[in-house]
Amino acid sequence: MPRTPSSRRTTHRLAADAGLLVVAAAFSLPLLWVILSALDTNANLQVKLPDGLTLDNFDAVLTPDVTFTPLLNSLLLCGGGTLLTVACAALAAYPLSRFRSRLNRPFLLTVLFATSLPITAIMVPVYALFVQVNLIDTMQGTIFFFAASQLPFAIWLMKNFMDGVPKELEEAAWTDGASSLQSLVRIVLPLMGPGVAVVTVFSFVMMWGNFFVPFMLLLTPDQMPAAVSINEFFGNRGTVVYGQLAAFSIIYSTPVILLYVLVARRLGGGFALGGAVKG
Amino acid sequence: MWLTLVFTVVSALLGQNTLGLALAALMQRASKTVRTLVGGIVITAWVLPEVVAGFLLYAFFRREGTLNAILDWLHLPSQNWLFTLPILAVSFANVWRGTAFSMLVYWAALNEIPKEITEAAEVDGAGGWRRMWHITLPMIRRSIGTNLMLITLQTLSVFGLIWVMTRGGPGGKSQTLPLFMYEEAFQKSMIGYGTAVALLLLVVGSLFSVVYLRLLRTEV
Repeated sequence: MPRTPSSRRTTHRLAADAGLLVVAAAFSLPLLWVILSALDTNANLQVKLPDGLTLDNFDAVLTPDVTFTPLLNSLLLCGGGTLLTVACAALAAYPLSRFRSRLNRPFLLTVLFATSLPITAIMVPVYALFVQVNLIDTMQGTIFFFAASQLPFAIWLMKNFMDGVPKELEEAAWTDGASSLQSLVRIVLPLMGPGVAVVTVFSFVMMWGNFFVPFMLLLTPDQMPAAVSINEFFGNRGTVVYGQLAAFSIIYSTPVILLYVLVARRLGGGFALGGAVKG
Repeated sequence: MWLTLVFTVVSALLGQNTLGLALAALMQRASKTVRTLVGGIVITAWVLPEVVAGFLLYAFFRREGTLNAILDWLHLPSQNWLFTLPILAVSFANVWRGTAFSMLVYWAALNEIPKEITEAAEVDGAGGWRRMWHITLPMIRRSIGTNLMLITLQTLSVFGLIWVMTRGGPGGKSQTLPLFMYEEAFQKSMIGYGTAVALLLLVVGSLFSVVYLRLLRTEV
């Protein structure tokens, strides 16, 4: 017996909903663990209802030693790196987007090529280099490397966003006697605000989560960002207090999740980034 | 070396890519609430810092962890996943963390397919699977290429996730190239050998990169 199209569509939708919910359940189990454990007085490694709700775990980790110093370090590293990346990317993207030159295409191809190289692979040589030029174990050295590693992708994104800004406005500014740097700062960048926001947030999130780079380039525990200090937390203290570990994970992850939500809201759904990445 | 291959194929090609495409396709049909919910959860897993993701999945796969608890409850045999099948465990971890990216790319691609084409095929009597195979997949093949390339490269350089979960162990059973490189260069202090491994990784990466450039060429 033939079903009507609308009822078939509903069945389809229900099936799709059910399938998605199953996947979502599987994906959310580890997330549930971290939230429940952070609130549990007696956390272990399983997802279970807390024995008693408590904020003690947060209390225990919110000390200068455990949380504030690493987070501050993270902020310094990622903030510095992001500023540098965005500034350089804007300066690099501007001529690429505005002036026709024979070097544009090779340059862009190189940038794209560099974007997709695995950063992990160049860490050993970079380590050796940093030892030689005395940048090892310094914050500024790590910031430089962060910025450099994020730069190709930032230039690529920035150039694509910049192409969307109409040229006429700038020509008007030039007629009024603005230099190209002035027109970049006063006209182009404000007009591509959302684009700059995406590049900034994306760079920041990438650096915030990066474990390998500070793990290799920084040696003194006082300078370690949260990404590395969480590891110490876990490995070198004998018995692991899972509740505290979970609490720390949550504190550490919150900024990037908030940033992501902020950008997703502003740009009408997180799917904008997917579109930009596609090239 | 072989482990790197297994890790890349299982977690990137089979896991992230297929699951991402399936999720994106299902999301097109699903109701809005479910879509937002699922998207939110999957993307959260993606945005989480690498190390945190490592811990969450470490807890999930441990002997006392959630996965075994569920298996117990279903009366299936449980085992210490991180010990018996570490490479599978870290591959799943990478799938958990990376699927969102493929999902976003495919979501964008699927939305660009004009409705008329799928409707025409539907009128012609093509079923769901045939529509997928003959219409949808050919139309998004560029996105598939790009996505495959990017997630492959991404997966090749995963370090933190595996480091946190297994440290490459036990006995090197989940030691992919980046971990091998780290161990040789820093724990055994053979910088030269480590650099050689790095170079190998870089070569593999650049080969993929070149293919990727070919795919994108016309768009630059």
